[in-house]
Amino acid sequence: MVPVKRDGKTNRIPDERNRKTPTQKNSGNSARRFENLVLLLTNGALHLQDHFMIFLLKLAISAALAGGIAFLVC
Amino acid sequence: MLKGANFRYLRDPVFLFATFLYVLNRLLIAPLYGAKLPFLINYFGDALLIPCALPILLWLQRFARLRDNDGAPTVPEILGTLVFWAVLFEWLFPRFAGRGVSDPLDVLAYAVGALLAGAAWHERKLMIER
Repeated sequence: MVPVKRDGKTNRIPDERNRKTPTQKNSGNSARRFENLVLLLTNGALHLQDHFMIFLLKLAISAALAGGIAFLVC
Repeated sequence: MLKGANFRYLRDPVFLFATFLYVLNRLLIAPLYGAKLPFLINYFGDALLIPCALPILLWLQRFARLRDNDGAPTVPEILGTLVFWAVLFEWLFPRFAGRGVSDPLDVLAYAVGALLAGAAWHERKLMIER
């Protein structure tokens, strides 16, 4: 049983092994920020890729139709 | 700009009227009066390119799920198609495929047709919205 002080607080010594130093905290924040940035860039790239693919497909259909018209009319 | 669920693609009145005019000119008017009015042979059909072919193109794009709305043709759609087809019909096809003859005035005819068709589509959209 953990000894209890009069003010109700436990007498347990804080576990030093779980406490992070300020450097470690900053490093965690930076890693998270970097991860978010990578996710943002990846999403952006995928979005752009989608738009570009749609644009290319539209262009291909347009060229095919124009070719058909040229074949029929000219 | 010209959005809204009001475009009927192959049943669009502008498309049907332009196609009717094209067939009429090609089969009847140009053979009869083309000698007196060379415009009918040289440029009238070109002026009808966008109103006749853009709805087919947009229908194909919609069918392929590349177009996400049923609105009237937008300004970028009209302009983009005009520029791309002008390059194809007046430079690429005559030069590399031996189809057609390159004539800068054809581009003017495409542009006039696109302008009139765009105005008609826009006007029709406004009428439906009222």
